[in-house]
Amino acid sequence: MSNAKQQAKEKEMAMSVSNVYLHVVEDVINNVRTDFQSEGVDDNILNELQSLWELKLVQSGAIQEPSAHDANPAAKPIPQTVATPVLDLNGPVAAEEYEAPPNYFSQAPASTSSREPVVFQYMPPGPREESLQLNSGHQPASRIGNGAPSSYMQQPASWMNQKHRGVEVNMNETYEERAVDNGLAQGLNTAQGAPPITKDFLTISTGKRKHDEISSGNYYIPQRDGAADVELSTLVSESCQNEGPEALERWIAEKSVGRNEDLRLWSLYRENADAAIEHLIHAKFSQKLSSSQLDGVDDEYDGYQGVAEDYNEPEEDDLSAPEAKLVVNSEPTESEGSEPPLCEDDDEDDVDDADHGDDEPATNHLVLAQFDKVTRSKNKWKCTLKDGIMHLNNRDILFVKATGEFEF
Amino acid sequence: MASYELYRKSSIGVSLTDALDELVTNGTISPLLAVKVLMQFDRSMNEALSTKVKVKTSFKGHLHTYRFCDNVWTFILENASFKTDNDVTAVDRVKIVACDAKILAR
Repeated sequence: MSNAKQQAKEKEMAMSVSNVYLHVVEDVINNVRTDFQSEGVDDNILNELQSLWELKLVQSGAIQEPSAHDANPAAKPIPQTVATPVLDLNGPVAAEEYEAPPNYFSQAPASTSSREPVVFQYMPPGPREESLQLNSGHQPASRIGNGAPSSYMQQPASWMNQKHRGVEVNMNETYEERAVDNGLAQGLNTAQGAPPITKDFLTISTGKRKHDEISSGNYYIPQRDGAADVELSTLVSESCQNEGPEALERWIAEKSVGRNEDLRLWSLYRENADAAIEHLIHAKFSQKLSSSQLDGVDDEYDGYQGVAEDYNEPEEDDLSAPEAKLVVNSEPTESEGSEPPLCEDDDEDDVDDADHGDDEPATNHLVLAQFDKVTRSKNKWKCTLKDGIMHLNNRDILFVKATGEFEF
Repeated sequence: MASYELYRKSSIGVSLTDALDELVTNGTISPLLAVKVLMQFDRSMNEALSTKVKVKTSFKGHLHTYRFCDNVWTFILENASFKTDNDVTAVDRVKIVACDAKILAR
């Protein structure tokens, strides 16, 4: 009962958000009508702008507009059915719902003949390209394949899509659903011939090969941190990023899901060890050459410290010219063991969160408002905001007043 | 008569920007006209938010980052919960951007 009430109220709220948005749209359109006319632009274009705007609003889920567009009552198909005409018209598909989980792409290759989205025949460039991306997001060929679109897409779609896979994961799932619901049942089996399969295998096998070779230590990529470790296979995939987005995705998933501290520190240690060793080797040479320096060891201290400081803060204290050798020797082992957390992590956290988080680009919770007052007492912050738009969990909520309390 | 361009980053603002970008790219309208539309959007959005909306919210969370630069507060909250009339929305990380409400030029 309460659930139903809640849902009803949510709908109300959502409706009123939609109402406000639509009101804003109307307001803007009416007010720019004169501007359009003074520029000599046709009213048709104004209407086109309005419909385009509303279309994008619906696509982004900001409003649910049942009347202006042919949308299905279900929530999910809203972007879908709107996109259906878009697909046919090869219109823009800008803001899609970002919902697809990454594991869409990590399905076993055996499940479908092409792990990649189906390869279609080549499409002419231009706006078609977007639908190319759309359609190439579809899964098995059997589910897709209209007479018309299939004649557009081709292999190039697969590599294009490969590129997108790591990034625009989201688009594909929606497209897949669209394809299913479109009832595109005619298989693109013909289109999906050897090439996509080959390509598919190529990708996977290449990636695998690299993994194997690297772990066996035979590959040309030199491992500088000692014997090849099996656990480092995911790290190693980092070095063969260019091999395939799947490896990259796994790497990203690893980084973002568990954020295994050890693995991250491993990569850090390795890099630090490499760089530090190089510098120390240089320093050793320079040390030999500059043994006649009147300034003495201080310069090298500075050099070391300037260099080592970046990479190994705790070792700064131990670092001195004569001890450089010791450091060189102990570097690898120390990095393996109990090195205190390098403060780089602090910055990297933010960078990682901002750039690599799976949800960050998709559902970036955001509040835009104006503040009336912001106060702080010790670590307790209070603020009063007004006239704000909140975008949380893919939903838009408007408020006229908000009070916040947080602790720093 | 300019208003805050803050709301251009919202869903509705982004939709409008995208739509205008398309038209400008197609050469259908001039960039100047697009800018005028956006400015009108700023005004309309500001006005709509202050007159049409009646909802109040409260929120709390852990402050991860705060910044006050050019009279704009930016907070990044973690584990925040936003309470509106009927429901609570919890998010793990939210960015709050707030401009000064007292600037008369709005």
